[in-house]
Amino acid sequence: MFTYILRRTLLMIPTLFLISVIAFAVIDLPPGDYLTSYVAQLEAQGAVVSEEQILALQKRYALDQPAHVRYLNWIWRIVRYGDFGQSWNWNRPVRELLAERLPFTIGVSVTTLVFTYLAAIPIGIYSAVRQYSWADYIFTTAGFLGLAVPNFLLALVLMYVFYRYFGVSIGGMFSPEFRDAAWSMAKFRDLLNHLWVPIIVIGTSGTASLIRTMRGVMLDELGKDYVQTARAKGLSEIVVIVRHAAKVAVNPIISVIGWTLPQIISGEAIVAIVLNLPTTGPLLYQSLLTQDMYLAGSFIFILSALTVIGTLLSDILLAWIDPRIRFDREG
Amino acid sequence: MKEVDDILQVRNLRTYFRTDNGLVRAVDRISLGVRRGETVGIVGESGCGKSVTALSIMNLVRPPGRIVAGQILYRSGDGSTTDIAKLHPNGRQMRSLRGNNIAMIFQEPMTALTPVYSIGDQIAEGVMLHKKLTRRQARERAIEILGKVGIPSPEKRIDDYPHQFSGGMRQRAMIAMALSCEPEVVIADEPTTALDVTIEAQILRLMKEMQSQLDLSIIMITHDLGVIAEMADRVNVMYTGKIVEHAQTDDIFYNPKHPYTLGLLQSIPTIGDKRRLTPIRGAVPNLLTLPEDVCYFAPRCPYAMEICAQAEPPMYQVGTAHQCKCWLYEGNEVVAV
Repeated sequence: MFTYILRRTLLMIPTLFLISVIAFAVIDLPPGDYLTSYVAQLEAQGAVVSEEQILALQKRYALDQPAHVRYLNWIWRIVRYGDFGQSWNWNRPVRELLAERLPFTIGVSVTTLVFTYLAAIPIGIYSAVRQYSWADYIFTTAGFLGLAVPNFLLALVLMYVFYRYFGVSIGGMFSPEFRDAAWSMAKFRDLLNHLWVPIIVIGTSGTASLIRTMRGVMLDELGKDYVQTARAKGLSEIVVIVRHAAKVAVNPIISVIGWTLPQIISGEAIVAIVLNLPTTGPLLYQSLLTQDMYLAGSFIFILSALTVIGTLLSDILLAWIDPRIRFDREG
Repeated sequence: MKEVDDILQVRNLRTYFRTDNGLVRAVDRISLGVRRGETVGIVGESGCGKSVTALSIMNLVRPPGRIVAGQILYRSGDGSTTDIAKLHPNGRQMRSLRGNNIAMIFQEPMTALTPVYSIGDQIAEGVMLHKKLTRRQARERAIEILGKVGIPSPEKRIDDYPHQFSGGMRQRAMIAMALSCEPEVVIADEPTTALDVTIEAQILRLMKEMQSQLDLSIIMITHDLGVIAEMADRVNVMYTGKIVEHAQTDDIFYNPKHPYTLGLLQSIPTIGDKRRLTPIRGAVPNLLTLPEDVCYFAPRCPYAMEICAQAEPPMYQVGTAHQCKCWLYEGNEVVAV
């Protein structure tokens, strides 16, 4: 088990390196840079920008260097000092912006993930065990609806319904009176009151597809011989289902945690814009529009890295649950 | 049949499957008895209802299948009799019998063990349930029984997972699991079909050893007449959901009465015999399209008579402890069930 974890962790390093290169390349590839839009902005305001000023700015932001030098510079400062560079648009260190936004993103993503699994696994099992029952049909229908309705639409509908009929604004992460307040029990409770909206909005489609997967795998497992063996031991049906069939069926579900995370994070970006959440999504979107490259690159890099780490965790979890995986090479 | 000795008695059992295409009478009015300490064989081709019979006795028939009629009387050591056919499949009473008094060995050791639990955990699970032992006691019991079925260094192998065992070892573990609660009856459904011949011989020998050690009654279900000859004291030959012949094992091989049994015996190859094998002509009929109350073997039978297509033959007494369900023996005493 230990060698398995070690091997998987070491394998992460080249992946992370590739991600950083791609993140940088994606940011750097489009024509123009932050300066172009900055100058355009200044000129629109009527200011006259001289050639010297532009050159000075280029020098200041190291834009006169070739791409690979800028990449190495960037990655070196991250590794060595934890310095992600300066956001041109905000005129603040990227690290500060990350520290502000990232905890919310991680918080919302993880809670959504937990919610998704807590809801999907029991429903999937139930749907499989009571296949073609009315409850199975209801879950199936609700599931397909959840898959088909775009997140942002669901967010808009929820916001409208709650505002129109209950007079509550459910956007944002906090009520106005708590937004700038220090942390307290009341603020935490206020957070919980707001948190369920993004969780439901972001989690619905993931939950729906997980239910389908869980149901399908469970149906397969229930037909297998070992289930009959377990019954022949005299175990009760619930023990046979939960302890034997579901334990095996949950494997493919756990192995997709790794893919679910990026889905949640990118889904979160759109929803966060609609719901006005203080997460990374809207900031990333903005930084891409204004070609605020260090900010955008850092976001993409960090979010991808988190996904890789999430995948690693799900692999470790899987190996812990399924002995067939952890013994593959060492057996 | 001396009924007093029977630990298990199946009477007129019918297990039907209600499918979208119609009613399948997988087990149709069969009767058989099993005495304490003996091995009763059930032999027949695929699809003849052998496995459904086994599952019926375990009361493990799953929908759309259902035991529709008949009795499965289990007479336990303390003298009380239970009709398994009347028990709820998932009820407490049935579950306390299953695995405890009547255990089952399945065909595919590759797939019949849960892949994510160690062998020891899977054996201990049943022991803890039925014998009310602690985890540690159950583990000791599992080591002991694994040793008994010939797993080398069981105290080490107990923590292995099924995929770390070979096919033969898995079947040994399966047997250990079945025997772990000291049942009185063990139903073995094709226990050696998935194994190669040398392992098959070992497993059969092991089952015999265990039988004499534990005074087990075994119901041996197989399509392999060789296994029957090796193991069974008495044999039931099944065809399309019915028992067509029942006799002592020797009588089945040396004095077969039913044309189907004859056909089965003629299709066994013998080493050194240069003659062509005589297969049974035709194929097993589709249970869905069968009319009721005829002899189902008639279309394939070399001795078929007019009456065979008109009425179902009763079970005739054709010798000492030898019954045969065939019109050829009309005039003999009819066995009442």
